[in-house]
Amino acid sequence: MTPSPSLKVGGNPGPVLKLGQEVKPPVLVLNTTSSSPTLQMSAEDLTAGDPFSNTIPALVFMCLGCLVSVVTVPLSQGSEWARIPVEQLWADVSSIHPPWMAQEEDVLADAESPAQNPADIEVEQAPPALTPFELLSGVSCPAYFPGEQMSASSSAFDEHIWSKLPEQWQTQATERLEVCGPFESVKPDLIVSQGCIENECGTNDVRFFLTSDAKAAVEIYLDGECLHTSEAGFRYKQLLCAPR
Amino acid sequence: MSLVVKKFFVSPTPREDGVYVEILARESGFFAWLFALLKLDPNFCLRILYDKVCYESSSIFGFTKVIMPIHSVSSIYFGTVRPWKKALFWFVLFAVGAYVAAQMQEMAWTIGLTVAGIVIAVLVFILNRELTIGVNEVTDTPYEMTLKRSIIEGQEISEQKLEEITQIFTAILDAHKAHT
Repeated sequence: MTPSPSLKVGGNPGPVLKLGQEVKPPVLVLNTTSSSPTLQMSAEDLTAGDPFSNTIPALVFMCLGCLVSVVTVPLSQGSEWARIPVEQLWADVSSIHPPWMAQEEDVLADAESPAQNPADIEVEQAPPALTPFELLSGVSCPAYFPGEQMSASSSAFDEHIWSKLPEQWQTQATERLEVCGPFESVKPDLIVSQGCIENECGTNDVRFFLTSDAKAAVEIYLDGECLHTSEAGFRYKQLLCAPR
Repeated sequence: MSLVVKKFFVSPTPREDGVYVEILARESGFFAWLFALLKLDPNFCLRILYDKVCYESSSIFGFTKVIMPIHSVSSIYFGTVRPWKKALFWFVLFAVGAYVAAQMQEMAWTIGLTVAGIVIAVLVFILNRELTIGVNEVTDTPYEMTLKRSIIEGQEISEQKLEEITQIFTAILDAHKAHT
């Protein structure tokens, strides 16, 4: 076992400190600027080439624009070569069904509809043909009056009543149809529609008549005076201009 | 936050006040420009003198001014971001419009949308190109400015100009070594 070295306790003597001495700070001169020398720089340093100008993006986008035009301009002139068949693609996508969806659809179809023969299916799918009388029964004027909206009711009204009226009658009737009532059944085979039902009703009014066999009649009140017209074969002439 | 340049001075010959480089910028945007007319806009300034670098940011809420002795600047840096993606997005948008117009056989719209796409893409590229310049203090604190071109002031700072700033800074350090 080696003996441990003996340690010297105590440090080096430090310098003698002079206490009570004041350091005199220098007087500062504010707001002075050190004179800036003109820097010596080579002309090459200062005229380094611009690594990227705006010409490059302009040229890039011009080229891209030309490529787009190559496709779109012939297309706009009727050429078919670049046309994307969107409808065909959509139809193709729609026709794709994953196997599990096909199975689900089969199960649902089987559950909902028992076996039917094709003739029955065709009969069910074909919409039943309604007569003008049925199409207009209970229908109010916004649904049948010409120019309001296109519907089966408006077509029936136009074909079986409105188109048979002289132009002057059409004008007078139009003025009286601001607020009008629906076609209501007054006989089993007769429906009647009122024109103005709020403003001066009774003195200025129009009423349309339609029988189940599509015979039409119209009565118009002009300041209390009643005029009427009816189609040949209209059975209820006694109801036209009848006292209310 | 990108800034637009209001005042730009770079020269190896110092100005009367001893400034070699001065970049004065404001926040970008129309409203910032309106505030600038009323002298209420946030301003940012970077100045390089012979013996110090000054960075100031001020707004109506106050200001900060940093003065660094030239030897306490550890590095100066600059760089750029080129907005290719943004410009391409706008071009593709108009190109799709042109294709739809072509499908509808509207030739005037097709050509118009294609040309508009080119113009807008180039403008987006030019106006959104950002340049960054900054200095790092020895404590690694960065003081930087991200600049882009302003439509109103129209000042365009090229990468070449920023490189010139770094060369001036290097020349200042060389001049200091020569004096010592």
